Amino acid sequence: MNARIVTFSNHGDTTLLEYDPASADMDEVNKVVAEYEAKTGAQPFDMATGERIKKVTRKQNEVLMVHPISGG
Amino acid sequence: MPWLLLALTWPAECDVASLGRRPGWQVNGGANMVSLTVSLAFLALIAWRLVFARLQGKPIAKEIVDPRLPRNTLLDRVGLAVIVGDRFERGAQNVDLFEQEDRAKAYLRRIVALTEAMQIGDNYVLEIGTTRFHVHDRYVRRLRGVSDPKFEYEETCFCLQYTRLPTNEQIARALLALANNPALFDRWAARSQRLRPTARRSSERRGIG
Repeated sequence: MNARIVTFSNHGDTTLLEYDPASADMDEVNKVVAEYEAKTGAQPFDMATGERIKKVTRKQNEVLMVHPISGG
Repeated sequence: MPWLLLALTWPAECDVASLGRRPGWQVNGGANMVSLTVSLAFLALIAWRLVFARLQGKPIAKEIVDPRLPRNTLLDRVGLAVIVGDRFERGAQNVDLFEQEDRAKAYLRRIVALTEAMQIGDNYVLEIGTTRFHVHDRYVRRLRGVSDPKFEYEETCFCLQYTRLPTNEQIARALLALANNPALFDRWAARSQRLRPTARRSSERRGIG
């Protein structure tokens, strides 16, 4: 089963990255996540626990990048 | 292309019927001439199409394989899609609005379950310790000290980067963010300058909360 990095955009949920957690280079996955975080300010949350994560590991099957929310 | 022009404007005297015997021509010389003309026209069309395609194809090809674009090594390693710039590869963008809404609802249900929130009408109620949040569409209310009558509801609104985000996903995102960091409420309120007590706890008993 593939793991996914997803986010919500104007189009609804959007898969940013899909990879095989068994064979993927997790450093590369985290690099992509870090780049996306730096670019958009979105933070990764584990969709299995609902918790904010600092680093994506092979255990996570779905990570949601939550874009920052600001006061209206 | 003069020969193409010639082919297109061949005079009527070249009709098969009007062709007589001419020096060097066979009996069916008219038919040969017509087939020659058609062949030339066909070749001209092919040549024109090739030239035209070449002129148009250049910038497209350049755009696709522009070497200045950063290459993603992950794409090579795992052979799967990743974003480049603002373009997304997969997700709900290729489905119709109804399916987008369904997917958004599914995500909201999952996040409601994860954060142990509760749906009451249009509100999603999230309790963290003694603080209760009521999350609506771009609106959130907070009650600190759920069991303490001296506290009042405060409310603020929040906004998202993507304005056309399905409502369910907006709420899901707010629930997830608040569940992980309840202090975000103060940050949103400070930003919006709209932190204000709106309803006393008694209003909750009247069913407003």
